[in-house]
Amino acid sequence: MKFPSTPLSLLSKLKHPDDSPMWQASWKRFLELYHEPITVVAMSCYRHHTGGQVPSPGFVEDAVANVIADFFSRSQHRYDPSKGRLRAYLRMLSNARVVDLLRKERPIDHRSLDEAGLSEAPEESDHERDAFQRSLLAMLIEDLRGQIPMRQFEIFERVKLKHQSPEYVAEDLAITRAMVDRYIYKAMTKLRELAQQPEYQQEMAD
Amino acid sequence: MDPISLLRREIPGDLTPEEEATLASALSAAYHMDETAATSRDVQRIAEKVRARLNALSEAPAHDSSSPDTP
Repeated sequence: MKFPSTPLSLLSKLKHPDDSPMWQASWKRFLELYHEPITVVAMSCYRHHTGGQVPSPGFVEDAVANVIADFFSRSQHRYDPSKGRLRAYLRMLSNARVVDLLRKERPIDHRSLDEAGLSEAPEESDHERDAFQRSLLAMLIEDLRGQIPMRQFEIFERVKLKHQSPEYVAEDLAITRAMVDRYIYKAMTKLRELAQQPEYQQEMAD
Repeated sequence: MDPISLLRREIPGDLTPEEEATLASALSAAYHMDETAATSRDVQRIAEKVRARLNALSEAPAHDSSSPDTP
């Protein structure tokens, strides 16, 4: 099933969710876009709560899966963009799920965990910031794909994202080099326009 | 240089060649991260776990905790 809407409208739609099958299926796409920053946060939370220990790959996978499932579960409180950034919500949710799994993982020496500090996620690292930034840029690119003509996106994708030379793309598509430049300029202009949307502005704010 | 702030700059012509390169590199990295995720076995494995948990959550009785996301 195709992703139900553009990522930009996904962020808006989170404010007014429905239970349509397409909405329910969108978690797969969300996982692809956000698995990296959630993984980084989960590992950071684990280290934070265990005095620097490193989680197993299985633990991290479980934590990421639980975050995504809870994010999309009907039984949970929904993310509300009016109350803060998606990024902050995902950090909070990731910390909560890591703590859940830690309690399951070590029920006997449960007391070795700093109970008072469990609700606090560690400070955001540069690594984490970079990962969230990549996810946001990927969402913008996805949005751009749905907002401009297919040919325009293809040229932008080949030159800007896949690093094919403009000359090669022009020759391959039997168009002039000037046309390639024009298409790329238009695509970049649209990308900047999308980045100015309030939903993105909120997520991108420093 | 932060690629997001470069993208939000109101006069794009102001970007230096170095800034242009930074932005292009960040966009490309984001694109490849997304492309890789679509076929990644790790992501597929996590997707199976998500599906299982979603099924478990849908079968469990709904709870009404005031702050379900807090440990």
